[in-house]
Amino acid sequence: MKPKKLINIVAIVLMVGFAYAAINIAPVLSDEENTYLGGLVWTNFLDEGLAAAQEQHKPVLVYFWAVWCQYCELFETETLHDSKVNAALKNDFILVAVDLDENREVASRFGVSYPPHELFLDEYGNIITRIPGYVDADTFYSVVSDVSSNYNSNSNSNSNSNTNLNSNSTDNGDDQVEEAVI
Amino acid sequence: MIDGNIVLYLSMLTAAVALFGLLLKELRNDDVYMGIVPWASRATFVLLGFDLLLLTYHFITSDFTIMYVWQFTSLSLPLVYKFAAVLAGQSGTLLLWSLIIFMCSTWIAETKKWDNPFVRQVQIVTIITGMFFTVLTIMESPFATIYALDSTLPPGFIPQDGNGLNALLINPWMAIHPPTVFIAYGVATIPFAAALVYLLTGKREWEAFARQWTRLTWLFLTFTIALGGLWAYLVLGWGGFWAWDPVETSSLIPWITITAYMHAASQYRKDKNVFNIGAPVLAIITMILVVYAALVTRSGIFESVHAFGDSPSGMMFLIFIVAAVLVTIALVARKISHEKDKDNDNDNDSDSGDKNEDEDEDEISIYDYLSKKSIQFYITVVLLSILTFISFWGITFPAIIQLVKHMKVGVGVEFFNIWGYPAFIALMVMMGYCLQRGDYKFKKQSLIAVSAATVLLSFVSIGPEFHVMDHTSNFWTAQPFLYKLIGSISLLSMMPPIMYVIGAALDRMFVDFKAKPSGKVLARKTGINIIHIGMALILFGAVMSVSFTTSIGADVYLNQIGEVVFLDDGYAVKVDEYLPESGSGVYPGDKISDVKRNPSAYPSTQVSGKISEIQSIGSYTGFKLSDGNDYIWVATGGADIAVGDELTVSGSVMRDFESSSTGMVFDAIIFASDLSSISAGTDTSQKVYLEVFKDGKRIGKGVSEYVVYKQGDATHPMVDRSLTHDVYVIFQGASSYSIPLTILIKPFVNEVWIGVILFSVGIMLIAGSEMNLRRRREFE
Repeated sequence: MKPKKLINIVAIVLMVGFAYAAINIAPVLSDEENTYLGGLVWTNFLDEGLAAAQEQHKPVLVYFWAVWCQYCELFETETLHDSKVNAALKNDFILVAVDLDENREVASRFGVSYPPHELFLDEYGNIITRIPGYVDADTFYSVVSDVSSNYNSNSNSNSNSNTNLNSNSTDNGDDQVEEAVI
Repeated sequence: MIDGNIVLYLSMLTAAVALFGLLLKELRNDDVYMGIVPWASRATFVLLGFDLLLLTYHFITSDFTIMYVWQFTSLSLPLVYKFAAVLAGQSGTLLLWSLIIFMCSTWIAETKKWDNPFVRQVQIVTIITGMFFTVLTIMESPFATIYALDSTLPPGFIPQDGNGLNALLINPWMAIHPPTVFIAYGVATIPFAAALVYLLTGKREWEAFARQWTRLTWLFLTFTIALGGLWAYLVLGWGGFWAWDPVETSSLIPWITITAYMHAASQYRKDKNVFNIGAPVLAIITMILVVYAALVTRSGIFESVHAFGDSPSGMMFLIFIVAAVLVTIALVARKISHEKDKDNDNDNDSDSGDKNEDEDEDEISIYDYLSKKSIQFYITVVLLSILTFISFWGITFPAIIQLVKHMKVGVGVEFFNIWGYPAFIALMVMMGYCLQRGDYKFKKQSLIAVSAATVLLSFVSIGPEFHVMDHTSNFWTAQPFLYKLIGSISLLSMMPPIMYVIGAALDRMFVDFKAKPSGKVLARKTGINIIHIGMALILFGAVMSVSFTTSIGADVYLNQIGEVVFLDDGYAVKVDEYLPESGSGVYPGDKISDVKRNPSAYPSTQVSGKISEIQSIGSYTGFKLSDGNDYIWVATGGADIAVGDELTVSGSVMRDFESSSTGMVFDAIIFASDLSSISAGTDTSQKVYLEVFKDGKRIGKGVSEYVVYKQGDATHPMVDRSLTHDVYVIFQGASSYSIPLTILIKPFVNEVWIGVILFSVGIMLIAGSEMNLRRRREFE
C-alpha cells in the first residue's frame, strides 16, 4: 500500500472514531422541562420557580448559563458539585436555570449580559443579591449561606419588600458575617 | 440627509454593471463594456466606503431614529466607542465585509490590469461574492429607521437615548478587534476566488497570484484571534484568554486550514503535481469556514456574547456554505476524472515506469519516506486537518443534537484539550523534524529520540495537575474511560517536541545568518523560523497558564483597608484604597446640570441620580437628586424613598417655582410623573487599589475594577505582567462589609503574546521579502 494512502486511511479512521466517541460521551445538560447542571435539578421557568418559592417560603437562585459557556461548566463542576454548596442549594433554595440563548427576556429584565451569572431573588421576584461570573465553591457558599440565613430570619417581616425601591437587602447581614474565608 | 440604503442599492447596480461587462468579455469575448468595468468597480468601492462613513456619522451624531444606531450606542458612550459601536452588530460588520471585498477587487483591478484573463476570472468570482454580502447588508440594513421597524411609533418620535453598547464591548481591544476580523474575512475571498478559478480552468498561476493575499489573511486572522483572546483575558475577567467558546473556536478553524493551505501551497509552488487538488481545496474550505464562523458568531444556531439576536442572514450563510461545498465537490470530481484520463493516456506509454515506482515505494523504509519533503508536508497537512476536524466537530455536534433531539449536551474545554493534545504533540514532533537541518542519519536519530522521550514522559507524573486533564478537579471523577485514558497523559510530554522545534529553528537561524544570503532570502527564512518558534511558545504558554494557575480567594473586610491580610500558601494582599462608585456623572438620561442651566429646553426630562436629602414641600414630597456633578429638586406625590436610593425620574421641569405653603423657591424643579429604580441601569464603578505579596515580597500591584454600565456589568481585573507569570486579581463588586477578591497566579501567559508577536513579525518578513517581485515575474 502506498504510504500516502495509509496516512489517509489512518486519519479518516481516527476522525470517524473520534466523531462517534465524542457524541456518545457528551453529557446531557438540559431537556425542555428541566436542566441538570452541577448534579442538581433546575426548572427552566422563572414563573414556576417563583410560584414554588411562595408556597415554600424559600429564596430563589436563578442561574444564567449557556451551552457554549465554558466558565459555566467550571462553575458547575467545581462550585455546584461541591458537597456543601450542593446540599445548601438542594434544601434551602428554589432553583431556576435560564439558558441565555433561549430566554433573553428574563436576562435583560435583570440586566444580565453574560453567563455565568447567579441571581438570588426573594419569593416575590425582588433581587436579594447577585454574583456576576464564576466564583469558587468557598466564596459561593458564603453568599449562599448568608442569603438563606438572612432569608429565614427576615422572611416574615419583609414580605412587602417589593415596594422598597432600594432592593439590596444583603445589608441586613452585618451581624452574621461568616467565619472568615481567608 | 442621504439615505444609506439608496447608496447600497447604487453600489449593487455598479457592481452588476462591472460583473456584466466582465461576463460579456468572458463568455462572448465582447469588449463593448470593458471600458466602463474599471469605473464601475471603483464606483462600487467608493459608494460602499461612503456608506460606512455615513453610518459612522450617524453614530457620532447619535441619530437614534436609525434602529442600528439606537441599538448599540447611547449618549453617555465616549466618542471612541461610538466609532467602535459601528461594528458592534451584524449589519455594520456586513457592510464592512462587502467594502473589504470590493476594496481587494478594485486593488487587483488597478494593479494587475484587466487584460489578463485569469485576473478577469478572479474578478468575476470576487464581485459575485462581494454582491452576495452587499445583498446581505441590504437585507439587514444598518440604515433601517425605527419607524420602518415599528409601525406603531408616531412620526417624528425621537428616542431620548440609545439602548447602549454592551458593557463587555467597552474596551480598547474590542474597539480594534472587529475591523481585523472583517479585513481577514474579506481578504480570504481572494485566495478562494483564485482557487475556484484554478479548479474551473486549470490556470496554474493561481497560487502565485493568491500568495500575498493569503499571507495578509493569515496575519489578520492571527490578529483577530489574539485580540479576541486578549479581550477575553482583560474583560471577561475570569482569567482565561481561550475557553473554546464556539465563537473563538470557529475563528481558529479557518486559521488552521489556511495554515495547512500555506504548507500545501509551498510544495505546489515547487512541483505543480503536488497538492494540485489539496491546495485549492484548502483555500476554498478556508473561505467556507470563514462564513461558518460568521454563522456561528452571529446567527441563532449557537449564540454567545457576539450574537445579538436572530437574523435572516443565518439562512443566507447556510446557503452560501452549501452552494460552495457542492460546487467544490463537483469541480474536484471533474478535475480528478480529467487527471485519470490523462494518467490513462500516459500509462500506455510509461506503464512499466509507474509500476517500478510503486515497487520502489514498497521497499524503502518509513524513514526514507519521511525524508521526502513532500511527505513531511503531507503529514503536516493531515495533522492540521485532524485538528480542524476536532475543533469543527466540537462546536457542531452539540447543535446537531439540539436540533434533532431537543436536548442540550455539554462540550467542555476538556473535550478540545483531550482530543487536540495528542494531535498537536504529533504536529510539533513533525514540525521539529521538518525544521531540522543536517544529514539524514542525524535527523532520523533525533526523530526517534524525541518521539521516544515524548512517549516515555507521557507516563511520568509529578503531581495531579501535571496531566492533560487535572486529576484534582471534580470534573475528572465523572469522566468516561476514554477521556481518563487520554487525560492521564503527562504534560511533561510536551517538552521534548517544544524543545525540538525551538532548537531546530534556532539552529537554522544561526546557519542562515552565517551564510549571509541576500536580505530578501534572509528575511524569508527568518520569518519562517520565528513563526515556528512562536508556535512552540504559544503551546508552552497556553498549556502552562491553563494547567498551573494558582487561585487564592480573599475576603477583605472594609475595616481591613490599608492592612496586609494573610492568605493561604504564603500569599497576602493589601487593599490600599477602595473607591466605590467613582463613575459620577455617568447616570443614564439627561445631565442634571444641563437641565438646570436651560430648563426651557427640557419641557419633559428624564434624569437619574442619588437622593441626598428629603423634605416635604407642601403636600408634595421633595427630594434632592444628585448625579455627582450637580443636583436638582424633585417633587413627587409620595413614594417609599430614602436618602441614598438611586432613581431615574421622568417628569416636567418647572422654572422659578415658589411653594405657596412653605415659601421655598426653586430655580428649577422636576414634577415627577414616574420614579424607577436603576439598580442595574446606572453607569457606576467600584475600584480597588491593591498589592499582592508572596512570602513577604510584593509580586503585583494595580487596580481591579467592577463597573455597571447601562447594558450590564463588567469586570476589569488587575493584571500585573512578567515573563514568568501574571498576577491577576478579579473583583466582582463589594458587599456591604467586605471586598471579595480572587487572586490568580498564571504562569507564562506572556509567552503566548510573544508567540503572537513572532507570528506577525514572521509573516510580515516573509510577505515583505516578496513584495513587488512576484507581480512582475508572473504577470508581465
